[in-house]
This record gives sequence, structure tokens and C-alpha cells, in this order.
Amino acid sequence: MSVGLSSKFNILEASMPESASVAASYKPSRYNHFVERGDTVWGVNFLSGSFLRITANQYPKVLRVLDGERGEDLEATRRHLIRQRFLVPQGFNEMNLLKTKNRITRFGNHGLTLIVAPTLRCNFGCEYCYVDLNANKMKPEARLRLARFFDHKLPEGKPAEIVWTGGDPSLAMDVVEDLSQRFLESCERKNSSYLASLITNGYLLHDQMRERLRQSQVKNIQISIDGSKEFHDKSRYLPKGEPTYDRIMDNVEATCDEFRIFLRVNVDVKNRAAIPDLLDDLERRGLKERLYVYFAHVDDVNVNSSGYHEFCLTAPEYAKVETALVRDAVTRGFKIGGRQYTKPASTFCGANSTNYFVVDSKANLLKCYLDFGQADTEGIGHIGDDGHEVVTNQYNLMKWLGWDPFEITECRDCKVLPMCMGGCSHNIMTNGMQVEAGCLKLRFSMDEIVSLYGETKTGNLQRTSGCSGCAAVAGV
Amino acid sequence: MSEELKKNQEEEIEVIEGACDLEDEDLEDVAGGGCGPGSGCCSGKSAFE
Repeated sequence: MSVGLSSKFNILEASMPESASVAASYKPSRYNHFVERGDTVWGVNFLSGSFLRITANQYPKVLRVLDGERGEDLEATRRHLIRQRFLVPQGFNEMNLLKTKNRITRFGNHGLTLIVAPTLRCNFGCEYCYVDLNANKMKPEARLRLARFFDHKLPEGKPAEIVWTGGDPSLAMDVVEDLSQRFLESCERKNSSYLASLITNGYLLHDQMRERLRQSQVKNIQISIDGSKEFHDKSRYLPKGEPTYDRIMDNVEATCDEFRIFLRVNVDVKNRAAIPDLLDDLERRGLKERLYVYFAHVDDVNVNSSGYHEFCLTAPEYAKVETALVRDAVTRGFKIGGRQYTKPASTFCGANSTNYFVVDSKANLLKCYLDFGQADTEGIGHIGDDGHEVVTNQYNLMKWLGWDPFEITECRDCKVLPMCMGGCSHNIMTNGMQVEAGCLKLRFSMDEIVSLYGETKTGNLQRTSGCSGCAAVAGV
Repeated sequence: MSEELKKNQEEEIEVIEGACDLEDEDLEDVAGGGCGPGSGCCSGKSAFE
């Protein structure tokens, strides 16, 4: 989607003819970053997204140009750096561009995103997770309110995005199917696109569920794994302790050619060293090119997981481990999901935007899925009978909408801000405004990730330390 | 500057990814999503595909 930034904020070379732009006064972007690796220097600008391969021979010239030096022998290099926005006009405040993008996205009426829990019940009994084994599915009257809410909030001609989660939505597929049909009817009437994803533990992802996913037009499925079979079965089990790994993997095999599967691999102190065993198993099963793997930081993000603190890696520790894992996986030929390196973004999370809601199975409204089960204290209200939101806790609403990464010194000073945009605000607020807890991990592993990205894009991957037995994985 | 010198300088800087045009930048994040349970992951935003 475009909101016409280019025409409204024509601040770069597009605003002036080539001859004038070269003669104009420029300064280095604050978001330049260079990584020297032997004969190659990778240059990235985190704001423009440009990514350069520079020869070691040329690099000193690049530095001279960025330092303001002029000369005939430097002019071609200078033009290059202006085009790729490593040099920006003197009068251009890059932070203002970031703020503008951020606010347009958050407070513009560009679409509707709903994170919906059709039930808070789960069929697993994981020790670290909030579950309510007795929770009910969303009742018909709550579904009706939610369907009205969707129709009311979706702007004409703008995209709708739904993420089904829980609990585990596989226990309430009738609700998913029912609501999906209603949402799709609204989208058709409003000429809006529709994208639906579903997050499940994968245990019930069988033929019948796949048919319901088809009917519900779900395209993406995220399935969580707690590392290798050995570790997964110790932490993600049925309520009586029965293992789940093999059945999940069988279901993944049967599903991944039709739906886009994202295998979320949770990484913590206990299982990190055995993650390569999981990759081995995925390879044995012939899955490495048929799904997306991404690694996730297990963090004690809320009251439900607070007892898990001793098993959580710190953000910098995790960044080091994740980087080693991504290198190993990419080298093996896996398709990688996740946010190790991204395009420039306008926000980190929809929780800070107006048209983004988390809806629990009682049609309570929240702003973050990490607050499921705590609607009374952390929610913002509920959906009324007429489909309009009833805000009962304005303080909570303002906490999320008032969140501003540009007020945080560490974020303002961070090179990665254009890709991170402040990180996970829930995590930061929960941790007493300790920014590190919510940061995009790129902040802590910038050189290695940039280098890995360059190697990947140029088909020149180096296995380096590898991952099996890698020090970064086995012990930070 | 000679064309040859210009060409050499250009070749020594290879653009792997060009700067995003502002109008192409990713305001397609609907309502500013790209996070939540999917974390930009179940909607597949990785650069390492």
C-alpha cells in the first residue's frame, strides 16, 4: 500500500535534478553501517534499506566521501552514495521521516488487524504457559458481536488481516470457520483483501482441520516447537505428560505443501545446544525447503511465565545464539522466517496502532496477545452488542497508543531504529522500561547478521564456525 | 573524469539491494501489524528466504 509519502515528502534526490543534487550540500546518514570482512566491505543503510558490496580497495574512498571530501576521483562514488542514501541532504532530518512513517501507519485508517482467540483452552499442558483447560469456546452471541465489530471497523477497500490464536484454535475450528465466513462476506462487500494466519501447536492438524482451514481461507500456519524431540517432549506435552513431537512433525509433513508453514523454534538456556539436532531431523524428513523455520527468544514476558526466568537467555545472549543458528540453517538450505534482518519498517507492532485489536473468546478487547487471560486488568474494554468497541479502561488504551520510541534515548540513538521502530513495547514496559528486553536482536548482532545477509544475497555463504558444537550455541 | 574511471568506481560498489523508494516502503503492514503472535513471522517477512 502506498500513502503517497513520495509526493508529499519529496526530500531526497527526487526533489531536485541530478546536476543540482550532486552540487548540493550533503551529510552522512545516521543509519549507515559498514562491516569489513576480508576483501569485502558490506555497507548498509538501515533507513533506505540499501545494501552495498564494496571492495576493500574502494572503501577508503567511501569513507573520504562520507567525511565530506570532494574531488574528481571521488565524484562517481559520491553519486553512488547519494543515490543509495548513505549521503542525505543537509536539511533532511531523518528522524522526522521515521516519525512521519510511524504515525501515518499507526493512526491512519489503512486497514484492520485482529488477533482472535476463538478459545483460550489448550490441549497441551506446558509448564510455562497460561492455559485454561476449562475455558469455553467463543459463544454464538460473542461471535455475532465480533462479526459486527469487524464489519464496522474495516475501512472500505482496505486490507484485513486476521491471526487466529488461543489457547489453541484447533479446539475451536467451528468458530474459526463460522467467523471466517462472516469476515469474508464483509471483505467482499467492502472490496477489501483478506489475509488469515493461524497459530497452533500442530497436534490436531489433520485432514478434517485442513479442510476447515481451506474453507476459512487460512494461508499461513505457525507451529511452535521447543527444539529437538528430546527437549520438545519434555516441555510441550499433553496434560498427562504424553509426548507430542512425532505427531506434530507428521502433521507438518502432511500440511506443508498446501499451506505456508512457519516453524517457530523456541530457544532457551536448556535446549539451545540441541537445536542442530532438530535441523537434522527436519532434513531427514525432507522438510527443509518445504517450510519456513524461524528462531524465537523464550522470555519471561508476563506473569504466566515469570517462573521461567532462570531458563531464559538475555537479549544479547540470545542474539548471539540466534545468529549462529540462522547461519547454520541458511548454510544447510533452510528457508528462514522471522526478523533477523528486514526491510525498513514503520512500526514494530500493531499494538500501538488504532486499528489493531486482540480479541479473546468472550469478545473482550486487548492490545497485546501476551495479556490473554488478564482482560480484567490489562484489557481496554469489550465489543458491545451493536459491534462498537466499549472502552472501559482508557488508561490501558492510552498506554499502548501513547507509546513512542522516539521518546526513548536508546532508541533515538540506535542505528537499527528504522528496522526495529522501538521493539516490543509490552516487553519493555513489563521490564521496567529496560529497552534491551524488547529490542530487535539485530541491534546486538549487527555485524554478523549484515555479513550473513550479504553472503546469502551474493551466493557466497561461509559456514564459519557452523552450529553443531558451535560455541555460541553450546555456551554463550 | 574519464568514462573508464567512472566505470571502475561504479563496479567497485555493487548494489545488492537498492534504496527503497519512499512510496514503495512497507506501509502495507495493514494497521501497523507485522508483530503479535506472528512476529512478522507467520506472515513471512524474512530477508533470508
